[in-house]
Amino acid sequence: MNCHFVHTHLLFYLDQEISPGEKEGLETHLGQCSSCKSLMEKIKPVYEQAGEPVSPSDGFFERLSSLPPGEKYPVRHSLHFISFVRRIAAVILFMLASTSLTLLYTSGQKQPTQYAGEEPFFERYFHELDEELADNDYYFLTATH
Amino acid sequence: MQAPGELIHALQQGDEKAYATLVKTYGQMVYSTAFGFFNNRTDAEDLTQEVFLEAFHSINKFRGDSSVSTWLYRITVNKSINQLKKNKKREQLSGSLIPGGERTMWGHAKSPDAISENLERRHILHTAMDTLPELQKTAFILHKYDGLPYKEIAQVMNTSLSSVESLIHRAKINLQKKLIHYYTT
Repeated sequence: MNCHFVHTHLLFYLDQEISPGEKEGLETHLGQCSSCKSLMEKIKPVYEQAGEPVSPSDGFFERLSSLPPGEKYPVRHSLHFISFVRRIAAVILFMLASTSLTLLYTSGQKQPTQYAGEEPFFERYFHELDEELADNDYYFLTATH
Repeated sequence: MQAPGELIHALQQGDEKAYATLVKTYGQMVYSTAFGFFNNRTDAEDLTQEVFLEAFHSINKFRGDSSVSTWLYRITVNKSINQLKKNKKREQLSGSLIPGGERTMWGHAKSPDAISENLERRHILHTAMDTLPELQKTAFILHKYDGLPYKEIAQVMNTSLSSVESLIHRAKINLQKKLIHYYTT
């Protein structure tokens, strides 16, 4: 019995699928070869995981069996709902953020500068318009005479 | 407890209690198989739900040629394999989008984030199992996770007894190579 035999029969030894003679020889080799022994000690607990019982989350089967037959994915439905709420929240946040940014930008903008002694634009405009109209009245008055 | 024949008859009549009985009787069996394929509680639970949904919708097609458990095993195996293929495609796509995102076969196994030794061991085993060809993996899961006798595995996989023996034998040889390679390099 040598290392090669151990390497090619390791899992079959663990599953007790080798002959009694092979088993005895393999165990004798493991007693003499530290590297094969170490390998066996590492692989055995890994391979044994395959037979370990597994269980779902608490109450999974109760939830599943209490559903009306053919009911679709309660977990996924709730996930879809959460995803929907998240999307709505993201849209609202985006709108709030963009509105506040716009407000910040406009409030920070410079107002048209008005110099001391200068008439505001509209006032100046109406003033000029009045003057023009007054001139025209004078023209009409002079023309009628 | 209802006999399988009665249970199927009640299901075909749309009996809600029969559906609950089906889940209670075969839920753990379906879940264990699904877990063998996914090594992940969430995916295994999702798949278990899908299996019972499929079983409910196709109950009228069940003619009783095989046992209820064999029928459910078949649905579980088919759905698991299909889902794994989808996952693989998705992973390949996301992997190709990440520059330098190539993952080694044991990429996660040596991660310090492993919650416990057992989880890490299970991960090592599953990483090795993921490299097995589809049929070898299926036969191995049905044998090791569900403890099914070879004869029933042959019925589930719709193949011969000798094929199952050969598949499981080759699965063990391949797993052995992968595990030895992992621990000796």
